[in-house]
Amino acid sequence: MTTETDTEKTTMQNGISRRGFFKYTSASIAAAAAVSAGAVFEVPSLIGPAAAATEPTGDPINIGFLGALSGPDAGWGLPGLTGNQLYIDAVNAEGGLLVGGERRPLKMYAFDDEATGSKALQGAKQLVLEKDVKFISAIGGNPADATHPFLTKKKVVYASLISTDIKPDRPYLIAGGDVTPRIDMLRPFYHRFINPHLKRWAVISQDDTIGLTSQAWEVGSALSDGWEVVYDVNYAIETTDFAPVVSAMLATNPEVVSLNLSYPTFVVQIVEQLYLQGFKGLISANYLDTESILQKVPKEYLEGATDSFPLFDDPWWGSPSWQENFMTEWNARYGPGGPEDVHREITGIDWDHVITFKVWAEGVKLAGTVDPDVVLDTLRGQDSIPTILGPGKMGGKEMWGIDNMVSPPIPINEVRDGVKRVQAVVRFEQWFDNRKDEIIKVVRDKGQMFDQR
Amino acid sequence: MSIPNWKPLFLLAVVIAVGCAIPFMVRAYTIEIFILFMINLILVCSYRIPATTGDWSLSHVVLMGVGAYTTALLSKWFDLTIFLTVPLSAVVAGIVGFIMVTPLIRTRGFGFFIASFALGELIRLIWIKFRYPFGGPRGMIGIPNGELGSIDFFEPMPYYYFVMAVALICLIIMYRIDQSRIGKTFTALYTDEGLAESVGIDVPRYRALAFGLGAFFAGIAGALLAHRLGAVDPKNFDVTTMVYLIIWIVVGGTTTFWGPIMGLILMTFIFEWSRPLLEWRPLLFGGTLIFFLVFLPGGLDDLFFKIRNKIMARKSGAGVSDVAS
Repeated sequence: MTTETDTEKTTMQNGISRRGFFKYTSASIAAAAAVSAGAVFEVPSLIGPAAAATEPTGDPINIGFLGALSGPDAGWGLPGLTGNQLYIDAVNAEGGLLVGGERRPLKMYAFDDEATGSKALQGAKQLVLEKDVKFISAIGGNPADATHPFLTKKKVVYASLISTDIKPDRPYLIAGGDVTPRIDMLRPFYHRFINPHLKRWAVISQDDTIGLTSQAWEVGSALSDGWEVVYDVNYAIETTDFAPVVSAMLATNPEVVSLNLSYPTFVVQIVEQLYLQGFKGLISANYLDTESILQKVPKEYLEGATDSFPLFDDPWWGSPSWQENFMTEWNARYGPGGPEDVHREITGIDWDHVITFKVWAEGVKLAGTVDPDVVLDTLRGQDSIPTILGPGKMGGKEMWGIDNMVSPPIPINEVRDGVKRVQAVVRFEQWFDNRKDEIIKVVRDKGQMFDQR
Repeated sequence: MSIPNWKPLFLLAVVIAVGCAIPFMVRAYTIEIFILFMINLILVCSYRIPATTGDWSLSHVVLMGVGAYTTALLSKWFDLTIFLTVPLSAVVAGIVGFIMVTPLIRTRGFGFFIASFALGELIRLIWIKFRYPFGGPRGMIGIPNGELGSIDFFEPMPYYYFVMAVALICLIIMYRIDQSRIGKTFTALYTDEGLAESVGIDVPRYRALAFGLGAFFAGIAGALLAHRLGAVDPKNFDVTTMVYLIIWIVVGGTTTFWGPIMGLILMTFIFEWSRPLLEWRPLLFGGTLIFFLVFLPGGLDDLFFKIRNKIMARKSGAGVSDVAS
């Protein structure tokens, strides 16, 4: 496995290591974007302003949370309730969301769709017909397919975690908070830059909608960045024994193993198998639940593994920062000993849904209305939109057929001494512009473009 | 000439009248709940048909899926109207059910249960593995809701009446089958298969008939669901959904035609009321299943008869022991 020492020894002409150059450049990109936006990353107080809060002056705005809150997919949904609620409470502490001069408090209603289309449609109908929600936080995937005709007709904004859900016939479906599949596309680029001597890339994920599409984008990107993709297989989502899956992959002698968008529970089992089967290369994934993984493998084994769900106590964000405030608030409320103790550490999913939720809220504030057509047009017209990961932008027409993708900067973490630490933050658009034709061709050959699904 | 029994007709008229009035008395979302309830009603009653022969299968929800996928293909490829896709899907599901049960006839009890699960999973995996024509893991989307002239079934009320009409027809047919000689033959197979065979009943043929009939009506439920959702995916018809069906059946019982219906009504209420419990809900359903298996193995059916017998015994003035002797 490549160590930081080895990497540091790889120098460029001016004596700066590749890793150092990447860090410097990405920080500069992020900082420049932030400065051009007029502010360094927004730091609204989650605790509440010291001055007296404004009282609500308008009707409440109801928000829906439609995702798996039980069953195997609950890992992507249930934690999201905490982050959304923290954000809602922060907004309501100021009297509510400022919409057209009125302070309108937010209220969230949750519905467990068990990641099933029929239940998701039932939930969407309940949330819209009973609660008149204007915005729905969701996981996406098959439930997005089932709900979009109804939500399109009812003109309700549906925020999927997964950009692959975006399609031109879903004008009110936005996504991008999960930075999928952009992060899966950028990890090969990151590794190519940091580890130029590595050549062989293997990628696996489950054979559901999100796995198939995200993996297609990752393979296209890896090929465009000069990797030899030696293994590209989607395992059955019903897989319970990952030993043969990993064996087959390792038979191709990869130097980097990417788990793409494998579910968190699958990632733990796969990494365990990689360890047991003696894999010594790099591990890369969309999301690494390090707390769970390190119960199966030693800390040293995970050193250098990459993902894109940063921890909010990462010094990268600085102090004070939105992220630090969020972490403090979350631990105080949901952490050990808190009034709503959830008996676990904070995960990336706890804040994942907040990304697009906050973007929508910003759009509502700017537009002065909750009308989804006006809100989305307003967002598309912005050069920069504050997100919890930094200044973002609406885009994605070339990938999804419509500019409904929220695109914040993408953090890339490496595991250091058992803890994820941000190593780089990358602007996706600049990277994609240079490679899009090549990548899109691969995705199209795999039948995963938006107009093929 | 015998005097017709007006009571069942009167009850039927009352049910139809109440059913027609419901959409005007409840909110729009509640109409959606009733639509799903009526689809599940067809499904749960269809499961009882093979269950009365003693053949409890784990593939019934997959057969519902066969109906759903058939509807999806017929709607999207041939642009057939909902009034054709539903009956055709039922026929296809019935045929698939008949083909499935043929190798299973040699098995009984637990063997039948497990073998049916295996065959059901085979079908479901075919949907997952073949992106063409089944859409793979993503399933199929863009299934039209259906229409009748200018009436768009996208709106809940028109679709409610359509499903109500289909459900009534299906339930009347299934009830008539249950009360007929064929239905009694099915029950005889479960009560004493050896005796049934000894009096000349072709046991394998009747078991296959029961399974095929159950699959036929399950296919109708699947077709209705597909048109309502506008999408089908393999996850809709997996073992989790099958477990819910088993819970309805166990809670309600299969002794009478009304048992599964009672189970469905009770569990639908519990299902809706327990939503705030979030991740604790599966625990609640599992606990309910265990409770009924241990304390009320006959289901609500059995409980109803026990209560009725006790009331009748008290009315007649004799103790239970006197009645028994």
